[in-house]
Amino acid sequence: MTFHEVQDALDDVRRRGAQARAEHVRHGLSWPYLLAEALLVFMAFASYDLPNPWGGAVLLPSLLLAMGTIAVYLRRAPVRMPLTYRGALLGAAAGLGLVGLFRLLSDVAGAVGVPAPHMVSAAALCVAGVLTAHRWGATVVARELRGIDGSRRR
Amino acid sequence: MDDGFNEFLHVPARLAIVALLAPTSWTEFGFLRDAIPTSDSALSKHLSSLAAKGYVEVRKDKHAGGRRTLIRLTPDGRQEFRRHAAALERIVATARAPQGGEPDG
Repeated sequence: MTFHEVQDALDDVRRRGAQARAEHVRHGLSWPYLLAEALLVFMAFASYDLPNPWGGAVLLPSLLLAMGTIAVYLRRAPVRMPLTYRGALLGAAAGLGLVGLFRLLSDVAGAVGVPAPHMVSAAALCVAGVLTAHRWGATVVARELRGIDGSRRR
Repeated sequence: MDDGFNEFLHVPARLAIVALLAPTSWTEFGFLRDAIPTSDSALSKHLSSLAAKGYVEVRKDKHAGGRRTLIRLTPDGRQEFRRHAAALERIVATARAPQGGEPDG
Protein backbone atom coordinates (compact mmCIF):
# COMPACT_ATOMS: atom_id res chain seq x y z
CA MET A 1 0.00 0.00 0.00
CA THR A 2 1.49 3.35 -1.02
CA PHE A 3 1.53 6.61 0.92
CA HIS A 4 -0.81 8.18 -1.63
CA GLU A 5 -3.34 5.39 -1.26
CA VAL A 6 -3.40 5.88 2.51
CA GLN A 7 -3.58 9.66 2.12
CA ASP A 8 -6.45 9.31 -0.35
CA ALA A 9 -8.30 7.03 2.07
CA LEU A 10 -7.82 9.54 4.88
CA ASP A 11 -9.00 12.39 2.65
CA ASP A 12 -12.07 10.36 1.77
CA VAL A 13 -12.86 9.74 5.44
CA ARG A 14 -12.74 13.47 6.11
CA ARG A 15 -14.75 14.24 2.99
CA ARG A 16 -17.51 11.82 3.93
CA GLY A 17 -17.82 13.27 7.42
CA ALA A 18 -18.16 16.74 5.95
CA GLN A 19 -20.75 15.44 3.47
CA ALA A 20 -22.91 14.03 6.28
CA ARG A 21 -22.65 17.21 8.36
CA ALA A 22 -23.43 19.40 5.34
CA GLU A 23 -26.55 17.36 4.57
CA HIS A 24 -27.73 17.67 8.18
CA VAL A 25 -27.40 21.46 8.06
CA ARG A 26 -28.88 21.75 4.57
CA HIS A 27 -31.98 19.77 5.49
CA GLY A 28 -32.53 21.35 8.91
CA LEU A 29 -32.23 24.88 7.57
CA SER A 30 -34.30 24.35 4.44
CA TRP A 31 -37.18 26.74 3.80
CA PRO A 32 -40.09 24.59 5.05
CA TYR A 33 -38.53 24.12 8.50
CA LEU A 34 -37.32 27.71 8.75
CA LEU A 35 -40.78 29.03 7.89
CA ALA A 36 -42.50 26.66 10.33
CA GLU A 37 -40.13 27.68 13.12
CA ALA A 38 -40.54 31.36 12.27
CA LEU A 39 -44.32 30.95 12.43
CA LEU A 40 -44.00 29.28 15.84
CA VAL A 41 -41.83 32.10 17.17
CA PHE A 42 -44.15 34.71 15.67
CA MET A 43 -47.22 33.10 17.23
CA ALA A 44 -45.57 32.92 20.63
CA PHE A 45 -44.28 36.49 20.64
CA ALA A 46 -47.17 38.19 18.84
CA SER A 47 -49.68 36.66 21.27
CA TYR A 48 -48.56 39.23 23.87
CA ASP A 49 -50.66 41.81 21.98
CA LEU A 50 -53.81 39.69 22.02
CA PRO A 51 -56.40 40.34 24.72
CA ASN A 52 -57.25 37.53 27.13
CA PRO A 53 -58.12 34.74 26.52
CA TRP A 54 -56.81 34.84 22.94
CA GLY A 55 -53.23 35.19 24.06
CA GLY A 56 -53.38 31.76 25.67
CA ALA A 57 -55.44 30.32 22.85
CA VAL A 58 -52.42 30.21 20.53
CA LEU A 59 -50.80 27.68 22.82
CA LEU A 60 -52.60 24.67 21.36
CA PRO A 61 -52.00 25.50 17.68
CA SER A 62 -48.37 26.29 18.52
CA LEU A 63 -47.94 22.90 20.19
CA LEU A 64 -49.57 21.16 17.24
CA LEU A 65 -47.34 23.01 14.78
CA ALA A 66 -44.25 22.18 16.83
CA MET A 67 -45.15 18.50 17.06
CA GLY A 68 -46.02 18.35 13.38
CA THR A 69 -42.73 19.98 12.38
CA ILE A 70 -40.73 17.59 14.55
CA ALA A 71 -42.62 14.58 13.17
CA VAL A 72 -42.04 15.64 9.57
CA TYR A 73 -38.37 16.35 10.28
CA LEU A 74 -37.82 12.93 11.86
CA ARG A 75 -39.57 11.21 8.98
CA ARG A 76 -37.77 13.08 6.20
CA ALA A 77 -34.30 13.87 7.52
CA PRO A 78 -31.77 11.87 5.50
CA VAL A 79 -29.23 12.29 8.29
CA ARG A 80 -29.85 12.58 12.02
CA MET A 81 -27.14 13.90 14.29
CA PRO A 82 -26.91 13.16 18.00
CA LEU A 83 -27.62 16.13 20.26
CA THR A 84 -24.37 17.14 21.92
CA TYR A 85 -23.87 19.24 25.06
CA ARG A 86 -22.37 21.95 22.87
CA GLY A 87 -25.38 21.87 20.55
CA ALA A 88 -27.82 22.05 23.45
CA LEU A 89 -25.92 24.95 25.04
CA LEU A 90 -25.80 26.81 21.73
CA GLY A 91 -29.52 26.25 21.24
CA ALA A 92 -30.30 27.50 24.75
CA ALA A 93 -28.08 30.54 24.23
CA ALA A 94 -29.75 31.29 20.91
CA GLY A 95 -33.19 30.99 22.53
CA LEU A 96 -32.24 33.35 25.34
CA GLY A 97 -30.74 35.76 22.84
CA LEU A 98 -33.93 35.67 20.79
CA VAL A 99 -36.10 36.42 23.82
CA GLY A 100 -33.78 39.24 24.87
CA LEU A 101 -33.80 40.77 21.41
CA PHE A 102 -37.57 40.48 21.22
CA ARG A 103 -38.02 42.25 24.57
CA LEU A 104 -35.66 45.03 23.50
CA LEU A 105 -37.37 45.52 20.15
CA SER A 106 -40.89 45.45 21.58
CA ASP A 107 -39.94 47.90 24.37
CA VAL A 108 -38.50 50.30 21.79
CA ALA A 109 -41.52 49.81 19.50
CA GLY A 110 -43.89 50.46 22.40
CA ALA A 111 -41.95 53.54 23.47
CA VAL A 112 -42.13 55.13 20.01
CA GLY A 113 -45.86 54.42 19.76
CA VAL A 114 -45.89 51.52 17.25
CA PRO A 115 -49.32 49.84 17.30
CA ALA A 116 -49.23 46.17 18.36
CA PRO A 117 -45.54 46.47 19.28
CA HIS A 118 -45.09 42.79 20.12
CA MET A 119 -46.57 41.68 16.81
CA VAL A 120 -44.47 44.13 14.80
CA SER A 121 -41.30 43.21 16.70
CA ALA A 122 -42.02 39.51 16.32
CA ALA A 123 -42.57 39.91 12.58
CA ALA A 124 -39.33 41.86 12.13
CA LEU A 125 -37.39 39.37 14.25
CA CYS A 126 -38.80 36.37 12.36
CA VAL A 127 -38.05 37.79 8.92
CA ALA A 128 -34.51 38.72 9.95
CA GLY A 129 -34.06 35.38 11.68
CA VAL A 130 -35.19 33.32 8.68
CA LEU A 131 -32.95 35.20 6.27
CA THR A 132 -29.97 35.04 8.63
CA ALA A 133 -30.44 31.35 9.38
CA HIS A 134 -30.76 30.46 5.70
CA ARG A 135 -27.66 32.46 4.81
CA TRP A 136 -25.72 30.97 7.74
CA GLY A 137 -26.75 27.46 6.71
CA ALA A 138 -25.58 28.04 3.14
CA THR A 139 -22.25 29.33 4.49
CA VAL A 140 -21.78 26.32 6.75
CA VAL A 141 -22.58 23.87 3.93
CA ALA A 142 -20.21 25.67 1.56
CA ARG A 143 -17.48 25.65 4.21
CA GLU A 144 -17.89 21.93 4.89
CA LEU A 145 -17.77 21.10 1.21
CA ARG A 146 -14.88 23.54 0.60
CA GLY A 147 -12.88 21.67 3.22
CA ILE A 148 -13.28 18.65 0.98
CA ASP A 149 -11.80 20.50 -2.00
CA GLY A 150 -8.92 21.77 0.12
CA SER A 151 -7.96 18.26 1.15
CA ARG A 152 -8.16 17.05 -2.44
CA ARG A 153 -5.66 19.64 -3.66
CA ARG A 154 -2.92 18.26 -1.38
CA MET B 1 0.92 -2.59 9.07
CA ASP B 2 -0.39 -0.56 12.01
CA ASP B 3 -2.32 -2.56 14.68
CA GLY B 4 -5.47 -0.50 14.29
CA PHE B 5 -5.56 -0.95 10.52
CA ASN B 6 -8.70 -2.84 9.52
CA GLU B 7 -8.43 -4.58 6.12
CA PHE B 8 -12.16 -5.27 6.08
CA LEU B 9 -13.09 -1.63 6.59
CA HIS B 10 -10.41 -0.37 4.21
CA VAL B 11 -12.34 -1.49 1.12
CA PRO B 12 -13.17 1.94 -0.42
CA ALA B 13 -16.95 1.50 -0.56
CA ARG B 14 -17.13 0.19 3.03
CA LEU B 15 -14.85 2.94 4.31
CA ALA B 16 -17.02 5.53 2.57
CA ILE B 17 -20.14 4.04 4.19
CA VAL B 18 -18.77 4.02 7.73
CA ALA B 19 -17.20 7.47 7.29
CA LEU B 20 -20.62 8.83 6.27
CA LEU B 21 -22.25 7.08 9.25
CA ALA B 22 -19.62 8.12 11.79
CA PRO B 23 -20.86 11.65 12.66
CA THR B 24 -24.54 10.67 12.60
CA SER B 25 -27.00 8.79 14.79
CA TRP B 26 -29.17 7.42 11.96
CA THR B 27 -28.71 7.79 8.21
CA GLU B 28 -31.12 7.03 5.43
CA PHE B 29 -30.30 4.35 2.84
CA GLY B 30 -31.08 6.71 -0.04
CA PHE B 31 -28.64 9.34 1.24
CA LEU B 32 -25.83 6.79 1.50
CA ARG B 33 -26.55 5.49 -1.99
CA ASP B 34 -26.55 8.97 -3.54
CA ALA B 35 -23.60 10.30 -1.52
CA ILE B 36 -21.17 7.46 -2.38
CA PRO B 37 -22.63 7.08 -5.21
CA THR B 38 -23.56 3.46 -5.81
CA SER B 39 -26.52 1.25 -6.69
CA ASP B 40 -29.16 -0.08 -4.31
CA SER B 41 -27.96 -3.65 -4.70
CA ALA B 42 -24.26 -2.82 -4.20
CA LEU B 43 -25.04 -0.78 -1.10
CA SER B 44 -27.26 -3.54 0.28
CA LYS B 45 -24.43 -6.06 -0.15
CA HIS B 46 -21.94 -3.88 1.67
CA LEU B 47 -24.41 -3.16 4.46
CA SER B 48 -25.08 -6.88 4.83
CA SER B 49 -21.32 -7.50 5.14
CA LEU B 50 -20.95 -4.71 7.67
CA ALA B 51 -23.97 -5.92 9.64
CA ALA B 52 -22.63 -9.49 9.64
CA LYS B 53 -19.45 -8.15 11.24
CA GLY B 54 -21.53 -6.29 13.81
CA TYR B 55 -20.42 -2.87 12.60
CA VAL B 56 -23.79 -1.48 11.52
CA GLU B 57 -27.42 -1.80 12.50
CA VAL B 58 -30.16 -1.61 9.86
CA ARG B 59 -33.70 -0.60 10.76
CA LYS B 60 -36.75 -0.50 8.48
CA ASP B 61 -39.38 2.07 9.44
CA LYS B 62 -42.92 1.77 8.14
CA HIS B 63 -45.19 4.76 8.11
CA ALA B 64 -48.22 6.08 6.24
CA GLY B 65 -46.09 7.56 3.46
CA GLY B 66 -44.10 4.40 2.78
CA ARG B 67 -41.04 2.73 4.19
CA ARG B 68 -37.56 3.99 5.04
CA THR B 69 -34.39 2.08 5.74
CA LEU B 70 -32.15 3.66 8.35
CA ILE B 71 -28.61 2.65 9.19
CA ARG B 72 -26.29 3.47 12.05
CA LEU B 73 -22.93 2.35 13.34
CA THR B 74 -22.95 0.02 16.33
CA PRO B 75 -20.62 0.84 19.24
CA ASP B 76 -18.22 -1.81 17.90
CA GLY B 77 -18.42 -0.36 14.41
CA ARG B 78 -17.75 3.14 15.71
CA GLN B 79 -14.78 1.95 17.73
CA GLU B 80 -13.30 0.01 14.78
CA PHE B 81 -13.76 2.97 12.48
CA ARG B 82 -12.01 5.30 14.94
CA ARG B 83 -9.15 2.84 15.33
CA HIS B 84 -8.81 2.50 11.58
CA ALA B 85 -8.92 6.27 11.00
CA ALA B 86 -6.29 6.75 13.73
CA ALA B 87 -4.14 4.07 12.08
CA LEU B 88 -4.36 5.90 8.74
CA GLU B 89 -3.33 9.13 10.46
CA ARG B 90 -0.32 7.43 12.04
CA ILE B 91 0.77 5.86 8.76
CA VAL B 92 0.60 9.22 7.00
CA ALA B 93 2.40 10.99 9.86
CA THR B 94 5.15 8.36 9.87
CA ALA B 95 5.60 8.61 6.11
CA ARG B 96 5.84 12.40 6.36
CA ALA B 97 8.25 12.45 9.31
CA PRO B 98 11.72 13.70 8.24
CA GLN B 99 14.22 10.86 7.92
CA GLY B 100 17.31 10.96 10.23
CA GLY B 101 20.30 12.58 8.48
CA GLU B 102 23.64 10.90 7.85
CA PRO B 103 26.09 11.42 10.73
CA ASP B 104 29.02 13.81 10.06
CA GLY B 105 32.43 12.38 9.37
